[in-house]
Amino acid sequence: MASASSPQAGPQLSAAAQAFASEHYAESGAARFGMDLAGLANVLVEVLSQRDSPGRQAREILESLHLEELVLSRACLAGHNGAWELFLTRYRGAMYEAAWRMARDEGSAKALADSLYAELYGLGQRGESRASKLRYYTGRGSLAGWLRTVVAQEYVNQYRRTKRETSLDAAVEDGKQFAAADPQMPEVDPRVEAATASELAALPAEERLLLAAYYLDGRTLAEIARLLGVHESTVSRKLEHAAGGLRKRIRKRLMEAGMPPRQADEAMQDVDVRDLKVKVSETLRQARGELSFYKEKEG
Amino acid sequence: MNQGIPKAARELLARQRPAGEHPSADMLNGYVEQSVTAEEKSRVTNHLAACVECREVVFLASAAAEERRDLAVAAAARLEQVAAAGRSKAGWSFWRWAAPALAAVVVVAGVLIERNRIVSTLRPASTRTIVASRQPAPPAPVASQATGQPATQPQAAVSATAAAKYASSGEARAAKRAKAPVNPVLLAQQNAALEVAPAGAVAGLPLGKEERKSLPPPASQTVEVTSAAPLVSADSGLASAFVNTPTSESLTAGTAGMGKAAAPAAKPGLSNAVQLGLASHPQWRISGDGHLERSLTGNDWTRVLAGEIVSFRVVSVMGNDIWAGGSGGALFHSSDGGLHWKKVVLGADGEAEHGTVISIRFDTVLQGDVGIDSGASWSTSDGGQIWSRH
Repeated sequence: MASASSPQAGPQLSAAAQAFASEHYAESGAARFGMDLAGLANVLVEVLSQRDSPGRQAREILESLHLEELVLSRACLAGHNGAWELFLTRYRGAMYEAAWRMARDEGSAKALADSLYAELYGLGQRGESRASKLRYYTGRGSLAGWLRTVVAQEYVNQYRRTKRETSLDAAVEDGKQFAAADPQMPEVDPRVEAATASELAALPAEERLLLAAYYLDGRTLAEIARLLGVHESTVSRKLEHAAGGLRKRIRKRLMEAGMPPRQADEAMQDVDVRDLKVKVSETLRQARGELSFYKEKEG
Repeated sequence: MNQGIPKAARELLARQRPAGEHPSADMLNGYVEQSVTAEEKSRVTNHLAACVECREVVFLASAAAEERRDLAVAAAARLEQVAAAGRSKAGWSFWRWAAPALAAVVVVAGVLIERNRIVSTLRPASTRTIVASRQPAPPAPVASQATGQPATQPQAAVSATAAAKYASSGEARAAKRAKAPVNPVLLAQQNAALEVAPAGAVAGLPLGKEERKSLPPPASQTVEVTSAAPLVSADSGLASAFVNTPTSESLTAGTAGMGKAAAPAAKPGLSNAVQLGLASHPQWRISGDGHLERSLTGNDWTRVLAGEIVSFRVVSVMGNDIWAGGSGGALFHSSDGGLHWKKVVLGADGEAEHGTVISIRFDTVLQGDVGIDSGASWSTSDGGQIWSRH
């Protein structure tokens, strides 16, 4: 039932896992899948070995686990019929719902979810046997959330593949061999580019994420707020702060580089906040194509 | 946003490429659910800032999680819309997908009209909840519902009847004899809604006609409601829309026909899977006079928690985890299929709940919500140790 202990697992990890398994065996639901105490401890050791959380105590990681769902996933991996029953009963609806929410199309959603089921069960598209994708779930978040994320990854993967094939086909049909410069894209003053690159690089990652999500991806304040778990007004304020600060610092750099204030202001005027040609979210919803799975990091 | 960022900045942002590999789904989900450490969050944020694909993933996953919670409200709004439009052809198109989701409306309607009447099921895929009323009424024959008559019986009872039919069918017996292992992939591909009403309702996924007709009964347990009071009050706009629309009919037809539909075409894996579920879990019900009862056979019912002075209103089943609630804020939990029970104190900061528990919903064994007839709700994220009121 349980996998063998990782050879990298130190005695401290094993001890922590065994102690935690003893304390939480009943609530883990391991017994109903025929997983004994040692089996549960092995699962925990395996998870601890996979986690790359420097400075975090093993106990802290174990306490944060979605234990019952982790056990269910490992029981499914071991081929326990009852576990698969429970898995399907609990998550099938959520899987299809997530697929439909993303694809907005019944056929695509069903194909997406069915294909994912095949991977979860450990079957390839041609029916060959291989390891289940469930082995990548380590109880960091909820199993339902992990499934939604996997569906989303697959959906994005599908889009990426479709886009690549479409672009290639179009290029071949048009007889294009080399990419041509976009005539509508004006040359950027090297000083502006240098100043912008420096200031962007100096921005905190969270601010770059906010700017990219809002100005590049066309995400709304509500969407960003939902993802970050904060109020829309907080996102708005942070965005104002990030964009305003960026503009101010770039302008200052330009002037320090010898650019006249008026020209620097004109460079700053070169904005149109939501004029990006490609809105990824909208384009994704139009994408259809053969399914393939997002490649997880092996190991 | 009064001001944007320079075009050069946008172009540079767009040209960013993430260093290293994409974070795993586990890590991205942890980020979405905010269960990662500060160090992990920093790493993921850094990646997301430069990776448009992973940004799409987390936004899609985040939206899917949120929309799941919003579904009940959306279903209610759409129901009103369709009720106003009448039973047009377009309405039928709508009902194709809205059929299972309408179970959600029962919960919403129950809150909106503030009635202590029967409220039926809208539960996530993980739970199945039965709500009973103490106001008896003549039961409506299943056959009449299957032919398009207004539904006057809780849908869960219909599901249970169908499940019972299936259990007694020749196919079910054949499945019991079958030794083939369960193939969840087959199960998933061949049957649209393992969870029948709850899963479909929450999912809101448009199911094909054939799929709906081949819906199998609940796989892991069957439930039964003996109370036969009307689903909701007929003088409510929502209620009358609900009981008179084709939704009930199609749902009932789908479920009532399950035994027959599944029998000839069922694959060994499917039948075995369903039978496993039916055989290994007791059935639960709340009697018309407010008692929690359990049966292993479907015929002989045994009173559970008989010593408790509680008029039970709702029982929720999720695998071996059973939750039952009723008058006086009573809430009981069993994690071993009903062998042992623990009384759960529903309250916080020394203040106990005294209202009647009318709904129980658990997404996992740890995370759940309990609804009170006053409109209040309680939630827990640790299996009922600590509750917070909303």
